Amino acid sequence: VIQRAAQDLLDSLSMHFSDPTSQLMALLEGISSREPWSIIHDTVATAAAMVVSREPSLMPTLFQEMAEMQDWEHLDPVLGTVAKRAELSPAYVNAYIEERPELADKLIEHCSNLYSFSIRRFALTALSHLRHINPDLGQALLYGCSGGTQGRH
Amino acid sequence: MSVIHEWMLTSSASVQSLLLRSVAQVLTDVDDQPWDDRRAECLQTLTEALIIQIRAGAEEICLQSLSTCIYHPDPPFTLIELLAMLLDQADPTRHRYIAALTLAIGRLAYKLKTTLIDLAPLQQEANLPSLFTKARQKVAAGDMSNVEELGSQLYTDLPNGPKDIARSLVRLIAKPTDDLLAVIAQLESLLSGDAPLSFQQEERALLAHLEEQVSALFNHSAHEVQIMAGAAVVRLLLPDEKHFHLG
Repeated sequence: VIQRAAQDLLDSLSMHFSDPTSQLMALLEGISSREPWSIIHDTVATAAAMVVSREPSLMPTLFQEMAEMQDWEHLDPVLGTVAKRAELSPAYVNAYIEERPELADKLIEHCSNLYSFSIRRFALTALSHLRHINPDLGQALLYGCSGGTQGRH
Repeated sequence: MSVIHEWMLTSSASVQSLLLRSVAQVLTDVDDQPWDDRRAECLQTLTEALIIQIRAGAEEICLQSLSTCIYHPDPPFTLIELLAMLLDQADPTRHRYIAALTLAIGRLAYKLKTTLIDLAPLQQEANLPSLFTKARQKVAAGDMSNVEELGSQLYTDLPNGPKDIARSLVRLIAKPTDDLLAVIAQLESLLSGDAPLSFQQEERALLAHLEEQVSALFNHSAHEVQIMAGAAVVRLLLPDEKHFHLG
């Protein structure tokens, strides 16, 4: 249902914007963590992942947003899109991240984000699609198992 | 010049901000009432006060004042109207302000959209007459005394029908009255197959206006405004959450 809704959203959005970069930016700006994550947010993240899937040259833009975004309110949709992208095309994302190990480190870092459950969830989801496991992932999983309380002490 | 305008011109920034928040709160409070002079006056006052601030370059104050309402889970219709008016009157060179206003409009417009109810699925529900009879009997017997109970009753009694729609509809039309029998009569009239065309007309008209406003900004000279217009349009294009539950 979400995939279909995302496709419908993209079809309608294409009537307003033909440029994939604008489509991606509009989708990422369209949601924020100020609202509870819902099926609507999943739809937007799926649509954004589909845009990146159709236009592979947007991968650096998406990962750059993930690596550089300081505003945690907008990090949710970016991480949500990365997780969805990894789910849709794991091989492609694997190949991309294997050449850029700093991105896997960044995902691990987000696994212990203090402010957002969604960010931790999406970072773990994205990591779960990687073929090579970074040793630090164990620490991130332990953090997740502890309910995210370690970082607060 | 009203007292509020005088205060706006003479007070410190923090007092101005508080003042604007208070007026915005009054707007929220009057939103359940039908359009009247008080609501119109309030809206006018707040718009003028905000415009004074914007012209004075105090856009931050205005946006902060409104930000308390922007994430409102059930934003007042009046507030959305106000943002639309502000966007209509905004100086096109104030990019940051226009971008923030556009994004806020997108957020609130989506919430407005979710309040729109498509009556057609309910109108096709064959059991409605017997449901209404049952509801009337329960009210008469004192088994039902408030709107939530009426909504829950319909929710339980509809076998396969669009339960959430029925519940939302009850809440919506019950706003001006607590008289359950009147609500049931109104519900019957709306669902009788010749529902008045004016149902939620005000909301639909505002939504259409917002779509036009936002679309007009796609070609704005500032990139940040274009992106926010895109973000707003994403919100407007999103399906209502009910869509997923109805499957």
